[in-house]
Amino acid sequence: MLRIALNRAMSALVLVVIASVFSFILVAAFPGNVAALIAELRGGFVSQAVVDKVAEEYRLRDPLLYRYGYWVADVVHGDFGKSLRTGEEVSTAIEKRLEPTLVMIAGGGIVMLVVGLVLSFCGALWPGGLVDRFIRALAVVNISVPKFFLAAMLIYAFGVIMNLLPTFGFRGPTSWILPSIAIGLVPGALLSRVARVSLEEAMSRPFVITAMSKGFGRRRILLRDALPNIVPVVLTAFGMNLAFMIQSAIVIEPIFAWQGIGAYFVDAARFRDLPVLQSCLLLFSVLFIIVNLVVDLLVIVVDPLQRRAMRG
Amino acid sequence: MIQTVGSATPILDVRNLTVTLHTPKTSVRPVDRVSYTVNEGEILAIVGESGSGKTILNLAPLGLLPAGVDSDIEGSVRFEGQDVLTSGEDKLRAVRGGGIGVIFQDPLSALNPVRKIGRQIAEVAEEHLKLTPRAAEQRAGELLSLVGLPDPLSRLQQYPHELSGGQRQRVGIAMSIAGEPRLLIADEPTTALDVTVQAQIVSLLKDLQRRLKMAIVMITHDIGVVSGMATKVAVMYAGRLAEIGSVDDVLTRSVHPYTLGLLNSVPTLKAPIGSRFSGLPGSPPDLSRRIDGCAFMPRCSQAIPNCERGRPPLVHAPGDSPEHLAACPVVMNKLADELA
Amino acid sequence: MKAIKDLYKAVGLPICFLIGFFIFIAVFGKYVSPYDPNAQNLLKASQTFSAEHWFGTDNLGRDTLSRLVAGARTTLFGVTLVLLMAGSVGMVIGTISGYFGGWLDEILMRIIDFGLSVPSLVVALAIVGVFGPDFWNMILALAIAWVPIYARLARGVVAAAVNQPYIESLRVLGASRTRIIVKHLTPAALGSVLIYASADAGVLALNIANLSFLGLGVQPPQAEWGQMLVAALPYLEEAPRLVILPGLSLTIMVIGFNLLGEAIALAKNPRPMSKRRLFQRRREFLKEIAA
Repeated sequence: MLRIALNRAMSALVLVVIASVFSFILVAAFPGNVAALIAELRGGFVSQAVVDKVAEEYRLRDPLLYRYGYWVADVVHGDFGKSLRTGEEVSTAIEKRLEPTLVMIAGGGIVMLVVGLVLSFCGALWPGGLVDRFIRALAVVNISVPKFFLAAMLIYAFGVIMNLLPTFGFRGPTSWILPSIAIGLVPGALLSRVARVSLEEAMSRPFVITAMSKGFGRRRILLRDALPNIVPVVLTAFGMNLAFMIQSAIVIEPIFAWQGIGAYFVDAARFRDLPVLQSCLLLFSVLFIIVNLVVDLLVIVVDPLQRRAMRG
Repeated sequence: MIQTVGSATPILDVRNLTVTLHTPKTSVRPVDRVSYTVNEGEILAIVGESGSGKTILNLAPLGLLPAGVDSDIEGSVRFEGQDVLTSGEDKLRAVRGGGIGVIFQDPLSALNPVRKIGRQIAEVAEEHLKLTPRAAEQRAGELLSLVGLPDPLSRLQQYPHELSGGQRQRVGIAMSIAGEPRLLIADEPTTALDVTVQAQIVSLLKDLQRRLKMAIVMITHDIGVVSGMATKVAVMYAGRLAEIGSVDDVLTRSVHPYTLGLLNSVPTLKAPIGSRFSGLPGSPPDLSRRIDGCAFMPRCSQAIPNCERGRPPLVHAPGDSPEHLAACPVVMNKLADELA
Repeated sequence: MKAIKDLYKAVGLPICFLIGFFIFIAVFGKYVSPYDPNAQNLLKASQTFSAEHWFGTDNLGRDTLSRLVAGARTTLFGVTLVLLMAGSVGMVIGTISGYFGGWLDEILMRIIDFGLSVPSLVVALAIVGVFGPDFWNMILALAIAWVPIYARLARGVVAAAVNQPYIESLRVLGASRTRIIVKHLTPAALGSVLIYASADAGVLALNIANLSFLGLGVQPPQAEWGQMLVAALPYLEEAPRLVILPGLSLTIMVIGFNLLGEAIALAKNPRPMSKRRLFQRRREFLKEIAA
């Protein structure tokens, strides 16, 4: 088992390296004179000499491979460069903005879990019934709704019409509710679909007939027999959706005016803030790879060698 | 009507049972007006080829069909006097496991791979004997040693894939008797096992039956198992009962051409080496279609014109046993001759 | 024609209607909209539903209905473009990788794996961020982000098919490599890709809207629903319809795509029979058996 874990970790490491290469190359491919851009942003008189000095400073004339090396060395030491837009250290900016994003994702994760599990169970308890079909229809709608539209509607309903919940800014627990719902509802529907399909599949396996022959009813079989069988699949789906929430945060943070990493990334994209773009891209990629790795390992723990041995 | 010898109410009384199954792809009738009884302490073996309906016969009335299959069931199936086909869900659940235990053919798929064996056995005792979890766990341990598994206490904590095929079937048996049922239905319990293990399982079942005084319905296509265990034998063909009687009657004094064909096709050690295998020509009929007359007629060497005229009723086989019956116009003729 | 009939049987009337509707809009939209979507008329700004302007006007006096139609065309155009590009490139990469195997396969798949492990929006956003917000940059960015999944899909199909006996026999018969790839392996891969694409279109449409919503996709004045929505957000209280209508349109289009994908998947896995079918079947069977 340790060997499998090590294997996965190695693959993850390779992916991280590829991520760094990609992040670097993408930004290095900037069409235009980076040095000139930086010089302009710094203000003051821009002459060729100034531009040359900037190129010197950022080692922009060095061969690509060297530049990559410098950048990796910097990153490993925690130096992500300075924002072209604000001049602030990217690392400090990221630290500051970590909290709102994490809160949003955590809240979204809870919403996803609750929505996902409740919907899938109700659907599985009465398959084909009215409840099941309603839930399935709801799930399709949920998955189709654009998150920003959902967020806008939530703001309209709870903020404007009912004036119940705060909609603007990161300001304490009540302000967490709407963004969490906005970001977690759709993954919840996705999760419920995965859970329901797996439950259905599990309930059609022979050991369910055995359980019935022992005199147990459907609800109990669902909970005691089918549920343990679907944990790996649901866990994987949960982890993946959680990772994708980082992407949703990019869109939802601006709507609720939360200063998180997502908003930071968007601002950087709007502004061509290259160092920030590079660092955020790397960060997001690494985060994804790590979450995937953790989920993979968790599945191996929960569904251990035992099952692997059986599947041969 | 089938006469029963012995005054007690049979523990299982099946009358005119007909089962029709519907799946999205097709509909079939694997059981067509079948009647028989099982008395206390009896071991009934139901024999037939695959697809003869012998499994559905027993599982459908209990509602133990796979998902995605809709069933229509007619007739009556009385367990200890009560018709399970008209019982409510609650009563049916009490019967399942508590009154009737089931052993399934493939122990690997019958057990839940992610739950410990101890739990899978103990929960039956909890449910039907109303034991506390700890007492049930203890009972499970006792049952494991009863079925011949050494070192029961550590077995309780193991998972199905840690056991061999024969051990798993023993666990299956333990699960089926944990609720102290009066009737055991064993669906081809030895088919998925090695030959050497088969014999062990058969003797285990006999032993348990004696000790726990259960009736057993044994579904099998293995004549060897039948002769080793059964007291009564029912031969199924194309969803219908071909012949039924005591084990001596059916195995040594069989009358139905199908039974004779089955018995003849079992190779014996005594036959000289190089002698031919004799099987039955042809194949069983399609149960999704109508069957006119006797189902076995196309493959029968003794067929007479009467065999085409409507489904042959069960009649007494010539001889002394009042319980030996067969559905065959040829037999009916012989009976007429005898009476004449 | 037969394909369309099969599709109809598999998918049901409502979805065919929806698809037909969108195709109609895509092709004839320009001739059907009452006004030029970009024509501003400040005198008539921010009007609500009226006979003249069925869905009212936006803050610059542009007719909302025409803009919605134009937005539909933009989205459909974008989705088709991206799927065509990503699909074909992905299929080529996947087929080559699956057919030749070996270290080429390993390397390609590592890169593909990376592409898969980062979500499409982040990659697209980064690309647009570096190269500038522009319709074509957005299309390119999304296409690049979408290639990995199709490459993976195609490779899976090809790698599985390559080991099958019939490919081997083709080789023995002397068929050239290209012939095998083009005539035999590609259609198989194409099937899987098409099925996935039908379900994927919805996600793609959402991402186009996401990017436009952030101001980094379709640029004004070109109409696009995400962009229309974000422009209307400040007016949420006074003119909520300007937010609701584009959002609703997008939702409906994506529902259409999702249902299409689901229906195609359903056609392959039959569900248990409904009560009505069961009754029918029962009657049919009894007639057969008892007659």
